[in-house]
Amino acid sequence: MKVLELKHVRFRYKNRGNYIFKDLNLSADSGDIILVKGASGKGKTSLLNIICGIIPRIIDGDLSGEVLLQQRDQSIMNLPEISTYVSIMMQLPDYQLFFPIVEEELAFGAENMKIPPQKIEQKIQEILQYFSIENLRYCETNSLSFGQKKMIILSALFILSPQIFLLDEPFNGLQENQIDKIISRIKNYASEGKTFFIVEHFDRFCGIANKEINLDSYEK
Amino acid sequence: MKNSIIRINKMKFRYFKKSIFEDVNLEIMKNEIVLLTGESGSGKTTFCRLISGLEKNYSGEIFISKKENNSYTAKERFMEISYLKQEVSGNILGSTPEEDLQISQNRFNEEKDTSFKDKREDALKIYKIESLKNQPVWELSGGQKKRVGLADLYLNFNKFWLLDEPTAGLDNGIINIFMEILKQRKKQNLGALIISHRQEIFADIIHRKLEIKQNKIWDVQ
Amino acid sequence: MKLNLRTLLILVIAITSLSVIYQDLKIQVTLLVLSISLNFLSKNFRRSFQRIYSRLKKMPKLIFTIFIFQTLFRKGGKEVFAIWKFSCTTEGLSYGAIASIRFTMIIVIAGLLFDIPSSKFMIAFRKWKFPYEISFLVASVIHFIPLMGKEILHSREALYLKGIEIENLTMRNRIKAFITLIFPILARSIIRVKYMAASLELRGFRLFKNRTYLHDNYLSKLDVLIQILVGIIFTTCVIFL
Repeated sequence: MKVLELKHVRFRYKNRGNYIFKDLNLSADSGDIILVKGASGKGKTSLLNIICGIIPRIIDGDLSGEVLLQQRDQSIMNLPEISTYVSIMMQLPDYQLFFPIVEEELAFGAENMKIPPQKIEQKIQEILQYFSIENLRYCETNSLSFGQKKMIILSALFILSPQIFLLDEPFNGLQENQIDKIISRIKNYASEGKTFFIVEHFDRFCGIANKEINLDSYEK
Repeated sequence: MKNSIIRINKMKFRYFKKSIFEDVNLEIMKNEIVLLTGESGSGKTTFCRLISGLEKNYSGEIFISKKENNSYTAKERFMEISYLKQEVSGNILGSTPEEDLQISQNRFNEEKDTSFKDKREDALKIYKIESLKNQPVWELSGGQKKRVGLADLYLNFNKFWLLDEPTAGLDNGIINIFMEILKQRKKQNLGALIISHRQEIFADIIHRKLEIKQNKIWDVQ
Repeated sequence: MKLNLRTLLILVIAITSLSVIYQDLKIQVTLLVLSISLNFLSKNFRRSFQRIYSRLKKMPKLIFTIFIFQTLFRKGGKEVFAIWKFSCTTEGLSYGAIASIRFTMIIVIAGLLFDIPSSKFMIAFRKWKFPYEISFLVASVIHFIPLMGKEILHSREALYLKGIEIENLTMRNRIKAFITLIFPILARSIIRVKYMAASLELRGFRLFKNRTYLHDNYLSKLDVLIQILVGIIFTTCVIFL
């Protein structure tokens, strides 16, 4: 089933000359793990931002073409509505962490989705246990390392569990054993029909992807 | 004669009431290239912050070259060590790459040299960011910002480098350029301490591998 | 003694309003003593002492200035002494004392609400039926200040790593440095806030009119007792004093 379609997407940032995308077309099915490749500055992050609607709602620019989320037009939704389809993990965890305590960060999304407290509690416990980071639950988010912050954001995303996950350099700063755990969870979710977009340069992860988008070839 | 850049004696450090280092002893030579590993949250970044003088409240001794860490001025330490942060925006001061490198060179007009401009051009060219030099840094992508940080580092070629995830967000082309520079430095006996989640890239170039475990730093065979 | 945040807020509001309503030295002193003892009761003894001390340490000049101004510009009662054109009266003195005690009291009582995470405030406001958006707005404002602080800290560290110590620059270059740095600091803070807002919305913030909460908080018997007592004392004060 098609969960995402981009049709003739054309985009450039405000006040900048060159178009990053001139005529970008792509589609994703449920169960896809898609690797987004390309040299830096070629628009990997921009692509994710277009899919989740940060462009043009938060970051300005000239955007045309169509973005369809499960056949519905994304351009008429607001970000909270989009959040029922898509979630994003940004490159820098400091751009995402808002709450002083880790637990609040994890619960926030689920609370907004009106998931009952016992269910949230269960989900938090499950994911923290899976990544062996139960000890971080009541920590101050400020006191965490870069890698730990990334793990928290990822956990928050898995708790929220939307149809499409956008992960911008998720493995950056993490250790082998954690990376392995994340990968097997991604595979697991994909087999249940979730869709992943992963921006990553490291060839080792190519193995898990069933599709690849190379943005260098969109260059003109 | 021994020529160490970092010598640590019985060092202890706590962060947010949590013990990070207990009784650490370590020596790293000026010409050594070392890979530092450890679980996330084990204190790899904290170690760099201690060496570069951003954290001062440790007990025990940390010697940089011949002098105790806390007796350095920022300028003196800068002559010995250059530190590239993991979040590279923490290294960048200027509004544009050009301005940022300029600040590194002339420290707000405290220093002047006619060769500054050429050196700056060189550094930007090596990492292929000449075309971005007048763009606001907050509009650059993560990988582009990293290249600005690396260009800045290149201006400080002769110092000991502390590199926290230097290749994160870079494509293979740029990583190769960076590795060439590391090799050049190795030939000239210039050392570095590297933290990376991609240890395989550095496997051939490093002299030694360290691991932070149970609040101590161990040699890994 | 651990009180619910709502009880603390009621205490703070009651005490500050009493202090603003009454121009009486005895009442002001009583309120000051009350807020100091509340501070000691609510957290562990040594830490609250340290906090009050460190906060008041920076204030004597300000408190003294308030005292002088009030003393000099309020007239009434007997003249105590006069310097040149200014005369110091008994009423002026008591006004000065009241104003400075009131100021000290506010600093002390605000200590009760320090280091309480913003989310706790949000829960407290919700229980009083404030809309979530408004309490969230308050929390965001509380959040933005440390965020700016973080950016400034980043820049200080970046300066240090480039071997620059602002204190050692000449005045001219120091100003130059300041002008160069302030713009990227502001730009970065604004971008950070934008992404932060997007990230919250992309986790469903404001998706539905109401939401669930992982933790609900309830009032203990002590909380209820104190809230009732404060209410009674407050109304008696207003009616009879």
